[in-house]
Amino acid sequence: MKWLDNLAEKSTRKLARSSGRRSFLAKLSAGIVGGSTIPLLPVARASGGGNSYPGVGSQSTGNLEDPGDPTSCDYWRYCAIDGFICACCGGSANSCPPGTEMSPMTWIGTCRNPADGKNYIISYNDCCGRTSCGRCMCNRNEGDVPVYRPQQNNDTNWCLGTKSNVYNCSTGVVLGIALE
Amino acid sequence: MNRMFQGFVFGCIIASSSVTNADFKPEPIGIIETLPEQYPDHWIMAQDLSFFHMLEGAVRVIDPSEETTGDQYKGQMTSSFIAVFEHSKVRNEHYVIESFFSRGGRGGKRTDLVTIYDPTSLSVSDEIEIPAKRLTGMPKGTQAALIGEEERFLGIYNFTPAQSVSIVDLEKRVFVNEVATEGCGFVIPNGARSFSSICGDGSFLTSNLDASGALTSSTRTETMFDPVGDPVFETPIAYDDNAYFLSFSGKLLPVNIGEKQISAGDWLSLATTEDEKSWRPGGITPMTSDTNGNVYVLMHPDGGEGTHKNGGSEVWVYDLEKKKRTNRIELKNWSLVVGTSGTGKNKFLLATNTDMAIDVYELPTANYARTLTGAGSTPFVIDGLN
Amino acid sequence: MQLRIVSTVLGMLLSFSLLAELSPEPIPNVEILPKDYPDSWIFAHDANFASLLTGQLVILDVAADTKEYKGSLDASQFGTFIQSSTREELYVGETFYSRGTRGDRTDVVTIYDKSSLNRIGEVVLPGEKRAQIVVNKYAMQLIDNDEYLLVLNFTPAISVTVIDIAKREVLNEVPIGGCNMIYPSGKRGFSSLCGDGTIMSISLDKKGQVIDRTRSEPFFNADDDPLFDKPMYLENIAYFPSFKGDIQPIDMTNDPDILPKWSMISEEDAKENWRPSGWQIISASDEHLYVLMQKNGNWGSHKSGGEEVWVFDTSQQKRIKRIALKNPGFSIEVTGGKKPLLAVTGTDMTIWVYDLDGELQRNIVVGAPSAMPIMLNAKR
Repeated sequence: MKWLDNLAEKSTRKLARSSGRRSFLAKLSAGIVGGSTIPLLPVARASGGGNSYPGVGSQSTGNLEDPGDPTSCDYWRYCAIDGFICACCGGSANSCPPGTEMSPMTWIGTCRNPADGKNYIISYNDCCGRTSCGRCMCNRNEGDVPVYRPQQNNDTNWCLGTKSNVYNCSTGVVLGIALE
Repeated sequence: MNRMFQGFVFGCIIASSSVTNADFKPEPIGIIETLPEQYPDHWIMAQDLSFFHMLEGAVRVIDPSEETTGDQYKGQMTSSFIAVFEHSKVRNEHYVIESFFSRGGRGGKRTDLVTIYDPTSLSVSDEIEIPAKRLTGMPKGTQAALIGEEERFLGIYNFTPAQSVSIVDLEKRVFVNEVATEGCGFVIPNGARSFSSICGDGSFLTSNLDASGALTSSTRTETMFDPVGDPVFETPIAYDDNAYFLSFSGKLLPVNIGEKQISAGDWLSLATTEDEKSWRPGGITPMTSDTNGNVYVLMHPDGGEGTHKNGGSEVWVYDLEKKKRTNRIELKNWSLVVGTSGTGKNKFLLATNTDMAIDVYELPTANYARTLTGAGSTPFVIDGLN
Repeated sequence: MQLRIVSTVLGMLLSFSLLAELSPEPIPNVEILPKDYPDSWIFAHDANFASLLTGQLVILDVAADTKEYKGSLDASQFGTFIQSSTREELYVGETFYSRGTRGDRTDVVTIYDKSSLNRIGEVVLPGEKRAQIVVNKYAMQLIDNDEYLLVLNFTPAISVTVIDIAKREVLNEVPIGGCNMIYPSGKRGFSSLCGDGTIMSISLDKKGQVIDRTRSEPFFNADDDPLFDKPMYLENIAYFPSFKGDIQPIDMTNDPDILPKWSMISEEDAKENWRPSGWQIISASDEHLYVLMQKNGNWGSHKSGGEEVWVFDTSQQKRIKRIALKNPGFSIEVTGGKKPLLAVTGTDMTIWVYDLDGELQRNIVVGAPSAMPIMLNAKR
């Protein structure tokens, strides 16, 4: 958390962060990270700086081409995620926890991979059939558009077309590179 | 069963010797409080979406003018699975539009209902089953709406991801019809018996109903805003036959929905100087209004791509009568949700802050009065019944 | 419509460059767990008092600094939980209402596959009487080599429902008026502690019918020094701590044999008013009992939690170690295997993991801010 704050404060594009906002982060287990932190941190993320959620072990993809900590809200794939990060809940960045069901359809975001500087299409499939995981609440909204454009909106419960509509957590699955 | 339990409790009391104190008379068991038929208009309905436990949300009745939690808290209705709350003044009923699962968090059979509550007893007076396809997600004020001046119909937005609106006849207590709104969503009531939906291309679709709730005709407008360049938030303010939509960049778009032919007016800017243009609206519920035509918008500085849900440190007030920004209210705490209540002496601006407590500001002075803490874990919608 | 979205996505995929450094990843993709869990995995039972409908069991690897959270099961409305040691199955006793917090009530035992965590069966419990009690291991137990599942009922008439778990079939309901909880005893039976300081014992036949019922002489005083209702079993002996710090061992091999009790509190400890305190206060490893202890305890402080864990040798009936906790504990559990760990639910409702020398290893947050993981179940 500290490193993230420091970097954010050094940034010329720093977010408005009142003490109240920080306290909200703490309250919701470090919930909302502003989108503008993303372009700042390729190096820190590549070296694995840990997440900002107390009591959640950090992880690594083990892949230099996919840098960062999948339990961290600032992991590059999560640029338009909204919900509990599945990697903190028994799944991973692209898989659901055991016993849940992955929604077949969902909203789509475009996130920049700091390793190759390319924009990837990310599919934020929800995992369904268990009550809210409650760990690693994360909301980022790059490219998010209101609900009248459902395929670009992260406010919707995408546990649709699944046996259960009950929402557990969210993944960020790489679909491929976006055309520039 | 009940009687057996009472017997059990009674037995326990008799067996205990501490009940002989003569200063205390035994008190009756089974007293349940009631609320006034018409709530004071400064009371608020705080909708706790219960983001961490979606099956157990609640709508709480709170008096923000009181000083202690005990006096503030009037009662609650449970609301299951990111539910929607509506109130009919004409019918004096509360409606909770909710979903149940036969096996709880695991799922099982889903049942969607309009649960009807009596405002006085806060007990369930009826329920109407609706197709199990209502949109679930973060709250939007236009997910459901009462349609028509007599508030006979309730429209509920569905998303499966096929888009449609379920029409419920509140008089007959039945689901009557499902109106397809492909490419468009939400329910913005207008006219005698019709509603409009917002479309993904920035246009509007109006659906007209007959006396039974069936669709008679529909019309679609030209594009009225740019849903990519400067999208508008889903929930407008209704005032003087217009719906005022708020754009991400901080402008209001008046859309005349009172007529058969929908038309858009000129954009109104919340910013009054060049410096203010870096301020952006944002939040979970970023805009509200009062009965005098004042719009209240949650604003944050240094806004940009992806900051539209970040909340804000100020509330900007725009007077729709004078067509100008009249005030900038500096909030005590960074907030994510705004609401208002009251008309007369007790008139309040409310803001759910980042600790998920509700700060109360007195209007029109905007002086901070107190903070309400009994509104649940995530009160994402807070408003009076006006 | 569903098809349309899918085809939109497909269309987008086709237009992507084929030179992607990261390959497209499969959808759907759901994790599975090993059939035989490592010894360091526990089930943390989140009673979730702030939202009882969404109680849950969280599977944690308390030895792990990464990927410590393995999965979860729902446990609705004062759920109960037990693992089978003979089948690859997990059992959750739970209650649903057709309208969430109201409507028709359905009580069930939900059966999960241990590896997929998929629901593989359900036994509907008759009578809408499953006990609604704050999470307690002895409200649901397996007996006779895990062939029969026993579920506690409370209306407040107290009884036990007997289930043939292989056949998923309810066999019988045994009234145990005046007594409560299910402590496995005998070849195929259970015992219950009674308010008058006695223990009742029931033996069942293969069809779940009562073939014998015995009741002991009074051996404890529930007014003066009650036994905690959550004992620890080592082999066939159940060790019940008392509020004032005695250990009452009961041999459950046949009908309960009340063994001589012994005190955990020395004269010196007594001067500081040390007492056991917390929710799940006793666990064990080998021949050693681990008990959560509180300094300056008093009448009514038995659920406050404690600042130390004391370790007792059962054969010598002597304390052999004191572990000072970094944060006060509310519940404890010791894992099995070659490298046992002491998992402690702190009064802050997060999990603090120690080695058996008392060195703090790590802290694990289980779920939402309101999570209450007050019962920890080591691998059985």
